[in-house]
Amino acid sequence: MEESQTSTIKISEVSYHDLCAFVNYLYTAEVNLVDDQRAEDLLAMGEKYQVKHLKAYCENFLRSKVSASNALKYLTFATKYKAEDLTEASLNVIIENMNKLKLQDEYKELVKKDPHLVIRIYDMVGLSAGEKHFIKGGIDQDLRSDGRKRLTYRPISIETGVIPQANGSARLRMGDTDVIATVKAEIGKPSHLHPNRGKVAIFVDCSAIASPVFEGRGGEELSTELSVALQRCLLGGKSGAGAGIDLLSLNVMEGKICWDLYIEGLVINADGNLLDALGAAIKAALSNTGIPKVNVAAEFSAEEQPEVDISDEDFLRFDTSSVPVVITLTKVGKHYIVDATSEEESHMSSAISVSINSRGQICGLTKRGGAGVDPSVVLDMISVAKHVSEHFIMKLDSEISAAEADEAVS
Amino acid sequence: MSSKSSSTTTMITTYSPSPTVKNRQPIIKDVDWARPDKRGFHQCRPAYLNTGTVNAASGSAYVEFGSTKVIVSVFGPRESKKASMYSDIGRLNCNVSYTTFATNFRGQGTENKEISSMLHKALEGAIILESFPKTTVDVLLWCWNPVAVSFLLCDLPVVISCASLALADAGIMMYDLVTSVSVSCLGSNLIIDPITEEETYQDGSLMITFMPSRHEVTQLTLTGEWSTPRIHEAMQLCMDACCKLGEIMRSCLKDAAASSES
Repeated sequence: MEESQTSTIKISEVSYHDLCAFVNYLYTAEVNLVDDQRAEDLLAMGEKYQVKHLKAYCENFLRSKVSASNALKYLTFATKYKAEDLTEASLNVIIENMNKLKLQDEYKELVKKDPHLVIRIYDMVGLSAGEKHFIKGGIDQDLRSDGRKRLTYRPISIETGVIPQANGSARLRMGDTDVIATVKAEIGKPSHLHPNRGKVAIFVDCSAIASPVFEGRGGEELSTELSVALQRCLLGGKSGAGAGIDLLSLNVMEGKICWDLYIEGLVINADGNLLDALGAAIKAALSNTGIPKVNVAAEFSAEEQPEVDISDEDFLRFDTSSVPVVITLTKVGKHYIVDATSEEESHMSSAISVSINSRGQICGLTKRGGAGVDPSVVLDMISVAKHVSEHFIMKLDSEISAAEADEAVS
Repeated sequence: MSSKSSSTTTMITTYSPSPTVKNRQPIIKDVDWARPDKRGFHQCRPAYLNTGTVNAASGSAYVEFGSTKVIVSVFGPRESKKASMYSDIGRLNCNVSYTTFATNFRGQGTENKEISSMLHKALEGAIILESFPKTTVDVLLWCWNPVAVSFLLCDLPVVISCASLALADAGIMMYDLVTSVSVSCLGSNLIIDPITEEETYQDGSLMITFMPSRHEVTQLTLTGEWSTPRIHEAMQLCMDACCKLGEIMRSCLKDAAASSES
């Protein structure tokens, strides 16, 4: 072999500077992308020598450089080196600027040279009204891996009164996701900031039964995230406006006695969409909750805590009509889906949980996942969630009343 | 020295241990209500930004928004802990500590954990984690607000903006600076960049973390009851303020770079 004799290998297809940068990256994991050309060359080398980090890094760099003027060039480039993200980014730009690009020579050349790429572009654009309708129909007919459409929930089943020790409880199953929510009411003292309001605390426990990942402190992060999101959705603003649970109704005697509600969620089996399931379970548990009537002793001095007599027989039902439901829309690629399974959640780039009450008002919103989204997408997701919530609230209400009826019979 | 001790004794004699009960202002819903610090409804607090305050760190920033003060140090990228598994992208570790004397109730609750995780989520999308495989960047943060009763969300935007400034100072590669602004909804008014007092009475709040040049939202939280057009209005207001804050942060970084070169 020539190489063994001369002890040199000629790499002819890359420039000296690119090679320097490449070798430098291999040793230091640092790279200085001076211009687009350098990034393109390094991406090509990354693909050739299977240095995935470098390729991903260059791809990310180039993604932000895609514009209407160079999108066609990058599409050809990205498909050649199998850079999926860059392909998608350039396709998006092309679609937005299709009317302009069609007139360019570059586009005509592409039609001759790479007809399969043009087909790929046309796959994504609905140009005529007929095509638009066809694609929209395709989205509407979309089938997920379990046969659902994009915006349908898995079947829900609810059992109420499962925990006799609690004032109210419910177990909710949504596909394989299985959660229990309990409500306990205790007599407490209102805080001096809000003397006429009760207190509500929400905790979520991701038990180790659900997944070995949750063992020890593993579930802590998720638990906190879920509890905070639920608090945000159910408790409304600081002044109490828009709260799903009316804190004033928990007041027994101003400044002296109030009810403290402890709402606890337990995850038994986690198969995605925990937040929606917990939100719905809490709504069911609250409607199952009976708060005992309290008689306060008539005579007491100003400093003393008055004596209370808690009735065993008379219960007050909780009004849950204003308790919102949580709708989580997961963004996978370009589309949103509801009620994602854990498999689907693993593909998510970002998700938005919107809580919506029966009047169609937004009562809380949390974004999950770190990836950035365009503000217009957020607003679009909110309006989709609003649409979904109408059906979901109806379905949930009928399930809850059916569960209550079952419990009364048994 | 003697004069000093006498002054302290006089202070002790005049000191009366009455609890400072603030007059609770009513929630006024009419339009011509003035904010406690005389700002306009759509006017942010005066800000002071500075980078390179901590010598030991790879990058640091000090930010003052009204009475809220935040110091952020960024360490790394440095080797990940031995226990953590191999990862071909970098890790980001955020830790917010709130001084124990910063709040009226001494001690730290669980809030700093929540704040840390929110900070993490807000920054993660902006950092090019691929640029430092196998290593960790630590964002350590210290926050102090002398008037806060407990950790309130009104400080969170300041914390996030300051952290991204420190990351930029440390030379961590990011797609864009992350800026953050919140609005409070008080009656029919939307007020931007609320202070503690206002936040106690708010009906709802919206916080956005935003990358101005890329025009992308990395985090969004909302509490209270909102209609869709109102969310739209509040988001526009926030994004506008974020863009302006982004420019200020950029010029602060440029100034720091220019002064270190000369």
